Amino acid sequence: MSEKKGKHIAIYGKGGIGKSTTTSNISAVLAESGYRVIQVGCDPKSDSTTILRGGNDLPTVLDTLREQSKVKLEDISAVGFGGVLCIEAGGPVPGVGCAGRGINAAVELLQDLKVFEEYKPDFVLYDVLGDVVCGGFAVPIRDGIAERAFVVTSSDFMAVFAANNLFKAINKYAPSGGARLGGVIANSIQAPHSRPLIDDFARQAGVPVIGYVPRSMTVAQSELYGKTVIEALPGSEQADVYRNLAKYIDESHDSVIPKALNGPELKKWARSWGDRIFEAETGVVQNMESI
Amino acid sequence: MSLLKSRTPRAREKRIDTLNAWLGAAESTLHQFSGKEPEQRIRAFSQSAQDDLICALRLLGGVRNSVTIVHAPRGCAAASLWRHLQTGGGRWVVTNLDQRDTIMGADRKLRQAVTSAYRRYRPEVLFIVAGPVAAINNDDIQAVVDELRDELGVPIVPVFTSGFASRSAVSGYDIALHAIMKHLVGSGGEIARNEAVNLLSGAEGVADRLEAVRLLASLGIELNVLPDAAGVENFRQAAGARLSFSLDQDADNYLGIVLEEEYDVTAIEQPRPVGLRATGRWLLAAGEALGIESAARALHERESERVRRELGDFTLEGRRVYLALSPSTAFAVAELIEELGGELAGLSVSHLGRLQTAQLESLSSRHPALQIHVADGQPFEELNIVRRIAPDLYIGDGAHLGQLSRLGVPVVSLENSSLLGYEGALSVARRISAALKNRAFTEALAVAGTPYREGWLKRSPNWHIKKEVK
Repeated sequence: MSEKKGKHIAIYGKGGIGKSTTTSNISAVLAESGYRVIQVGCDPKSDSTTILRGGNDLPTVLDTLREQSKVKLEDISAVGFGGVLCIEAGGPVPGVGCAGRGINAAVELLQDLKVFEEYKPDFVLYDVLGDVVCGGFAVPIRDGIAERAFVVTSSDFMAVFAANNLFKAINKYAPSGGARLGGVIANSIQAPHSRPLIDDFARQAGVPVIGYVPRSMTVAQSELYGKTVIEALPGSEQADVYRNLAKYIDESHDSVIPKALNGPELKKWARSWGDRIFEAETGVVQNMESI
Repeated sequence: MSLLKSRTPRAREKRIDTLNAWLGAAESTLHQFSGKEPEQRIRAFSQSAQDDLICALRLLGGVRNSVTIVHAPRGCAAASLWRHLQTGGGRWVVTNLDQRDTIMGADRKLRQAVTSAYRRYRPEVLFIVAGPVAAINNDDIQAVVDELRDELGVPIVPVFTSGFASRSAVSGYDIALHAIMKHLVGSGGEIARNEAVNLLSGAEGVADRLEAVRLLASLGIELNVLPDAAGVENFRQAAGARLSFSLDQDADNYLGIVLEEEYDVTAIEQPRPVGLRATGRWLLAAGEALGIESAARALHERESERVRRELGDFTLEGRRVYLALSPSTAFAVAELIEELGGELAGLSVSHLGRLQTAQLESLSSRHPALQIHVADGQPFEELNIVRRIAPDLYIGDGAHLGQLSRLGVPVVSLENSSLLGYEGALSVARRISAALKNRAFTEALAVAGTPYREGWLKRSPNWHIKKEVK
């Protein structure tokens, strides 16, 4: 790694949960604050940085490696909103190869190209698919690449399940120099139970929730224009939500090793929330509780 | 930035533009290295070749009182047999990864292998060499290392080879040396200085190393010999030594770089001491660096006089010689052949990079049209070239002697035989002389013909070497 390495942060979460949107908006805020930022999409879908680039095409690292033997930084990067350097690791043709190995090769190539030494970023954000934490997708949180990881989750059980898997991976790698967990970002907060459910899950795992991002039309609208909220609607309330998240990531250095729930614990916990939501909807109030 | 911070060093083709496939005149070969980076070529057809895992295992097997755990499916450990066949040494264990391990990860198996290898052998150091499966499924070797290093109280060194990440097998030497220095010596700490001089010897046979030690020791130089046959303490001592001399600037190059850049131990790199002239230059360079130039000169004069006397009227005059060796050896032997009055017919080298540009330049100025072939393995290409050139003698490292002999050309293998220094020059001359006199065996083999059909042999030898069109 370089002497001026910058803060390397990995953001994980289940596919479709809004982690690219969240990451891109955080990148945009950091860039807006004057920091040099690199965002690396580590997902074979390669759409992590789309809204930072106005929806323009960007060849992925692996596509470029497939086409040419010598790869230069300018072949695989584009400068997006606020000067954010956008890179997409990409993946093999769907159905073949090993996407995890692809992430590995892409990260190795970035180190080989001395991207971090030469660009001297203040922040590098890795936006990583968190559905399957196989060895390859764990690369950003291993071997001291990212020092902190954040997980984006909604109150859907599958998103919580993916977050719990990430906790397991952090538990495994943190003792040998891997990343620690910075916290949970609660996304798509809409239903009344969303926030308490995520809070409770975070409490069980012993991790902080660093922000709540409400489900908002502002986000959908900005994305339709191929922009982040920070660029499209900088004065909106939603933009301030992302500003607060970025501020936390910038200013706080706290991190923990989470306590992942095991299979039966997670199931039991989920069932208890199923009961509470059902009771709330059917009007049962126990022990003066409200959710 | 510390070289040792990264997990592995850069692959040879990236670090020093190493080529693995090429056929052309010396002049145009040199031209490849005149620009920023040479044009890499690939093979459309390839016979078997070595990989970084093989080279790493070869080097690590030579570390004294060590055990190597090959973390791979069982077949990958076959490479470790090389040392057993060559020297009978090198203790190794394979984790025998199976289907389940590739899916679930095999850290438990690795932990077991390390623990039981330690209990059985009580080595000074354990190496864990990752094979292709661990490189693909990202098995967490580091966690096992961290955990067991404390528990067993012995250095455990993870060596991250993959078998596929580099095109140059010799990258494996660099990866192994990087891991050894990173984990056994480390960076940043206080290093105690000592008076010894490092003799870097990773790829030599015992006879060659003994000859180098004999010469330097007779000049009163205190030596620390590594990495082959060295123990943990030798690596630690190396970081505080006065200087490093290398016996093979190709295999030992990276160790010299690490010692120089990390620990300020100047590395003196000279072409291999092969033949009288080169051995003299090598000794004088050592003498100059240590302020004992006149003793070195006297030793050289005394030894070379003795060798000349013993060589008598031996000459290679009128003989055309083809060489197929590792690059630093090939260039050095080329000089010896000319010193003995012979003529070079062509060169096959296993790889070629910027480490050899000075020697290539010198060769190209003497023989601009001499054909240079770069191939690791590839007996077909080599045989096709040698058949066309029809030299009077073929000198190789042993790998293709069987096939080449069937051309009826006298062959000499340098594998496991003495080559370096004054004794080496005598030994090579004797072997050449014997091969040129006793031709009946290769002539008898030639009756059987080559294993390739005429249609294949009619194709130009570089038929399968293509420019990469990407």
